[in-house]
Amino acid sequence: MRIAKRAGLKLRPAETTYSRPDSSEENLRRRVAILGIIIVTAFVVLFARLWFMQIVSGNDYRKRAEGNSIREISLEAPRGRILDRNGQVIVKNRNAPTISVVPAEMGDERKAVVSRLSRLLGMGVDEINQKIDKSQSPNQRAVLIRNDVGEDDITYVSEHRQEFPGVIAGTRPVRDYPYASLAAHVIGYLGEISPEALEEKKSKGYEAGDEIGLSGIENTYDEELRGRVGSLRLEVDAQGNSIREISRREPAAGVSVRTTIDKNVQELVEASLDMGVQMARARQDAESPKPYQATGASAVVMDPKTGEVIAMASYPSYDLNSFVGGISEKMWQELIAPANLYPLNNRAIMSEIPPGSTFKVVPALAALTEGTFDIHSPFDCNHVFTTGEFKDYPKTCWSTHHHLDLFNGIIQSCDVVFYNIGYNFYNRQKDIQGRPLWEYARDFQLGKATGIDLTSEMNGRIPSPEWKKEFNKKNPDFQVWYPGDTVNMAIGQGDILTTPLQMAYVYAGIANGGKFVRPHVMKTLEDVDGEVVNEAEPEVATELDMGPEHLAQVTQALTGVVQGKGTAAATFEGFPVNQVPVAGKTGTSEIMGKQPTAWFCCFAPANDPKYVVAVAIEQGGHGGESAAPVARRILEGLFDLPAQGEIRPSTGD
Amino acid sequence: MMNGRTSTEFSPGLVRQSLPRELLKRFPSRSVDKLLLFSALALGVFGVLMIFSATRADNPATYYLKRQLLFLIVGVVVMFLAASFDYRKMMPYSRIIYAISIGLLLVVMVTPARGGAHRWLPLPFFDPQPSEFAKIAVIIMLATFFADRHMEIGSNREFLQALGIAGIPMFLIFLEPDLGVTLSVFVILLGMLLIGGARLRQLAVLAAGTAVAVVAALGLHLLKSYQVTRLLVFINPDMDPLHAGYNLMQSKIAIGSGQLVGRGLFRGTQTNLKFIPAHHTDFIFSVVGEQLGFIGGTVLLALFALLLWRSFKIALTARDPFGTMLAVGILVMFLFQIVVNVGMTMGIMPVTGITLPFMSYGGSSLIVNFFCVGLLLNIGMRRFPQGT
Repeated sequence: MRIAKRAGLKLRPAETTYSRPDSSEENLRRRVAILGIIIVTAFVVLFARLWFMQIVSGNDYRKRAEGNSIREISLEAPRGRILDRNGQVIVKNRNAPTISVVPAEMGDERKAVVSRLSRLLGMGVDEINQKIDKSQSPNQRAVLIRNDVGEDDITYVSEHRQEFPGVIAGTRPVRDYPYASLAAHVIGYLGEISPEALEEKKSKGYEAGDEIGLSGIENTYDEELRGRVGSLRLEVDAQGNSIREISRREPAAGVSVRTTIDKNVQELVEASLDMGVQMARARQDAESPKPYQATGASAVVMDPKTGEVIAMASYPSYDLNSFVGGISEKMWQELIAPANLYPLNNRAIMSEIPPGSTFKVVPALAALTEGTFDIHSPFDCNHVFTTGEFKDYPKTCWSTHHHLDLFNGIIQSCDVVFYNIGYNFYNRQKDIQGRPLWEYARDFQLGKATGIDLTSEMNGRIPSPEWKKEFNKKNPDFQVWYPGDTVNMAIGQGDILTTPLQMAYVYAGIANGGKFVRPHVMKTLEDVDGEVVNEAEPEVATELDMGPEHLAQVTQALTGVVQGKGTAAATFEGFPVNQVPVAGKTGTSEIMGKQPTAWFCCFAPANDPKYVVAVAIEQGGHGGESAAPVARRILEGLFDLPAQGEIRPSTGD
Repeated sequence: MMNGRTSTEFSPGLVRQSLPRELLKRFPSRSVDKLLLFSALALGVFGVLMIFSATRADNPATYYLKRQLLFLIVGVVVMFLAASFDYRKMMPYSRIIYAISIGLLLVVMVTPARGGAHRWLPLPFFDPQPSEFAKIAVIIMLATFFADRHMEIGSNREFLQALGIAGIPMFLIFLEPDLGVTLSVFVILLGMLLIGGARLRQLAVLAAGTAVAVVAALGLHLLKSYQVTRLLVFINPDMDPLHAGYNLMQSKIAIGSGQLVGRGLFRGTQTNLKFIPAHHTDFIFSVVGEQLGFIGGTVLLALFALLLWRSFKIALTARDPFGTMLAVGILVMFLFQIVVNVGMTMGIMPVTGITLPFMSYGGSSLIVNFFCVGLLLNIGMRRFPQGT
């Protein structure tokens, strides 16, 4: 009918019965229009808002909805264990009662939750906040607040869930070190991954908040040890109650590392080294008003044929347990305080020290190889060396040895013998004859890291004219290579620097007939069932052709060091050298302004070497008096020999 | 032309006929606003469905479904009853209706508080909310008031009388307390004053007075913030002041996450994991948004738009001022509740505890809403001059 007409904004259709004055109708028309506009505007706004939220921003809201209802919990994988070479467990895991928080889930209530935790655990609010803020975790990951909390605390939190949103009370696997500081430097400590390391290792599945090995084997074999973190995806309701499990990926336990370390030998070496340090500290330094400081010491025992490191000790050491669950700031400050002599440093691979007379085997073998001297070449030591340029700059020997040959020069560690050899090398190099001494030194794998599977290994330094030029780039006056540079090097002094492990490696090379098998600490990697998944292959770094007769001659001379007129004879008094012949060398290296470092390097049995032992006691005095006794103790243990009651220090070099 | 249009007077000849046939005769299909009827029924069914979806996880799962379905049926019957008599017959009874509703509001004051509020009359099967009925009573009373004055209330005295008619129940409802319904009544008053002929100057003074009162209370720090919070909690105990922001955020996440097509009916984590507060009452629109997405939300808004458009149309075409004012009051009530409720769930309106007509769970409001639709149909049907 008249529907079409009526559909319009007609105020008073013809058929309506009531009427008003026109002015009033006009007025009403305007008012109704206002109402109409309000209705239309309101619906446009609602519609636009709906469009904006669902179509424009829908993705963001969808993600937030998912973040709301899905909680991802990472299931920590137990880290692989670390065993000694005989399968003795030296590092394991235990389940520690732990309080952690997931920062994102605390939300607005963080302040209240933190203060409740502070009261419960007796920790400072700042300390807790620091831990939360320090963690770079993108908030979904649990941040450890405290390890080894009481069972009461766990129960309390579990029973008061409402007061502790985002707090996780439960157990998690942590490292357990039954032998505390034993082989601490080889094992290494754990800590939270740094942002830099994370950037580098992200592609390998590392995540923010991961605990990672920061030194030692824990660092080198971190990827194998860490296993794979599992995850649990739960659907939770608004109260945080778990509704159902969406998915679960079981954590995969890490692979265990069986090291080349022998726990018993390690204990022996650490005890011996400790004894050596204490003895050195009790000894008066003749050239100083103070006793020897013995600011640090290290010892290495390795198998020259396989390169396996059987023991590696560094003094001072630290208790690995202090790193469990994150080291406290106080403890950390103690560990890095200079007064505490940097216990974290593995001095066996990090201390770069002149090797002193222990280096003399290198110029001896180099000279024999060059053919410039033979083992019975005669020398004359009247305490000073004044040949050629040294007329005006005489160099002294630590003693006066009179007439002696190279063989006895090694035994008695005569400096004049080696000054002569060094000077000969200098002149031949000047005339471009034969190979220079530094090249021989490098043949013995010095001047570069041995490549042991431990991080932070130092390169040491073998000086050469090129090196000197480069090193003194800014001081042209110091760039000249003088005869003294070669001559000093011949007695292991001057600019030469080696780590104790490098010297062990030199002696291992000699013991092994010139074959340098790279030192390593990992023997096998084993899965949870003990199946070997990877085995370290002995890696021959180089095989020097120095002539078997020369090696035999030098080895013969080294066996003389521990007896007769040898520089370590007193120390080895009573040692059954006929049963276990020891080929060794003392060394006392000088660093300007410091007390001398005591060295002793040896291998035994000399005729069929099983072990190389190297000992260095920094600022610990003379090799014969401080280092050799340590080596003797170690050898006694290694060969099951009766321990000498009191070991005499050998005076001299 | 007037064929089929029955008299509003009972004709004796029809008494013997069966009641359904009699009722049917009262609804000449030609003049019933079928679009309005459709939108109201569709909204009612939509609401039952969404309430079921929101409360399925409860125990028993069909508790709310069954009740709302029953309310819907009652509502539809009430709607037809409300359309079956000539609405103009209500005019003489408007004072009585108004007085009864005031009486109920007074009775409810002495009932035991539930959740800190005296809103419900404790009856055996369901607990009616007198405030819901008061809204329509106020509308009828005001419509009568305006109609009696031929939609011209120029004098301040008449203006104040209108304020008083709305003010008394507002005050009582505010005391219950129920801020949402209080505001609804206030806005109904404003709407009816606008159409009913109040001078714009009077409206301006009213608006300014309200604004000054609110600003003075809140803005000038006459009240401390905790006092404001306490006040808000007092007038709206449903609102947990600590969690109001959280709830709103969860509602927005629910709606936004629905995206174009929604998570699917009965699905969606925000609803099912109870992230949405009061998901079957005040926040039912969040459930629609999450589960049915932009499409579902648009359909719902379109149904509301249809409802309002038809109401608007009926207000314009009513045969007398009473019909117009009645329709305007109902229209404004629907409009206000829809805009504030939907706006609240989307974060553009404050959280005031206003329900969504036809959709939110609750018997009183559903029945009253259908009663209102019945009146609208009634007015629409009888827009033509009566032959008899």
